[in-house]
Amino acid sequence: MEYAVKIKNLSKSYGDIQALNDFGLSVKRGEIFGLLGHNGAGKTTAVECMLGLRKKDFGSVELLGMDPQLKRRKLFEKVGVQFQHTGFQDKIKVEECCRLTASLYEKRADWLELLEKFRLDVRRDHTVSDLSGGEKQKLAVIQALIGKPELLFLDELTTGLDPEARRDVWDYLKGLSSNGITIVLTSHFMDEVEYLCDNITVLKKGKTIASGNPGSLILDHGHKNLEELFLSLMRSDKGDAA
Amino acid sequence: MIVDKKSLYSFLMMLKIEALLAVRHGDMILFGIVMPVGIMMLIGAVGDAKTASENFAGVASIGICAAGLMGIPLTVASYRHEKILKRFKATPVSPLLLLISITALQTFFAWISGAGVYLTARFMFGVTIEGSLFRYPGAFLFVQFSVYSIGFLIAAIVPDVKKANMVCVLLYFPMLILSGTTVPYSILPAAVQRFSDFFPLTQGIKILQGAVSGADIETDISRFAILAGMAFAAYIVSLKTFRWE
Repeated sequence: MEYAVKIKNLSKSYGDIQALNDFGLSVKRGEIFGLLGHNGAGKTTAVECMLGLRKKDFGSVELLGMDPQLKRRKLFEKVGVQFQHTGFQDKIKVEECCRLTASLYEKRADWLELLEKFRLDVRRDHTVSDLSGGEKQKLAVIQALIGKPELLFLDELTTGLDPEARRDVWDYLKGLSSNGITIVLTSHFMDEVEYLCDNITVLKKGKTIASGNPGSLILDHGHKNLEELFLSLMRSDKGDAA
Repeated sequence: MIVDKKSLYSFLMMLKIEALLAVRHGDMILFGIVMPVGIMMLIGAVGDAKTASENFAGVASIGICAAGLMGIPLTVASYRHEKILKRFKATPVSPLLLLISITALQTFFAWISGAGVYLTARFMFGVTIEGSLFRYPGAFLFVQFSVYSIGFLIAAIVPDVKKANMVCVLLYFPMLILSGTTVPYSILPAAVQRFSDFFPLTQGIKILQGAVSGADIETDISRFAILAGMAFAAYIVSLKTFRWE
């Protein structure tokens, strides 16, 4: 199987609002893929439709060769997800959170090792509500990793992290990808996307307005970096007709 | 849902962690267990054996109320609000298993509470259950089943935690005060009694009371039928309207 993610003609609307319009993408195994766009561009809708958590109006979705709506249980043994807003049970401790998550999977990563990797091991016995925003975010990423996923969805993974923690997370993800794990992420940080992603898709009002390798996209459009490219894409009329 | 070894392991882990959280939180222990046992002691101490016996069933159902009208709906509403149920949808385990573990734990708490109140009434005040061996436990489970239906209905139809809290408080306290759990039903004015008779819990307590005194079971049949009908309706509506997020 060459592709970990194959999406074709995905459409979704909420009433009159077309949140996703004929969206498609293919992600090769071991690739890090970035989904970009402003808030409300349809990134989260795209991720949730891909995961089968939201009913799509139209289109086909294949993750690791499976339809997420038909093979939920089997698929989520292999797919880890970090949502944009991750809530935790009131008064739960970091360690309990990891144990609970680990109990959900057949294959379990060593969560203690993950806590150490992300420098959360010192917080093991703390309640999650006492953690800082960045620490909670790291815990959410760890939760997504505990089931030893082959495919990882990270919705705004480093929001709230300090520069050092971001580096830790980036390097860890790079390592995963070189071990053949596929990652689909959304981000507002262009430096992050440029550093991590092999390929990207830029969404505007539910439509794809650019996609490809970030390096070649920057060159093709004659910009200095991804941030400038992204801003010029957002300011252009492209996609506004939708 | 497929029950296999792994699901069982996940379930037991959920149960264990939910139990730890509930103990850490303390509300359920205090309001569901300590308070009813305390009230039983108080009623027994200020009244005679007859008072204790007449009010035992009401006090024994406080735990059911705490679990069904507070514990279950508030936990479910907050787990939905915090998107914990949604996150479980993106794991191999259904969030339904989490709801089952919450319900199981709350059911267990209500049993502990019921047992604690019984032991207090039995050994401190000599209250005896006159009905047949299975009648009282059966009635207890039935009242639990009916009161929980209200809790599930709240969990299903109330949009957020704040409103769930409000609805729970609005249902919990009037029932607690007027149904004969904390204030003896017999001392309420007749008009208040008639009003309180509309509460499912009041009818539930009468069924329990009948089991305690060994009264003719025929008088309870209509109560039983109405409560069962109401509970089934509430469960069906909650199943139809329940949202994971």
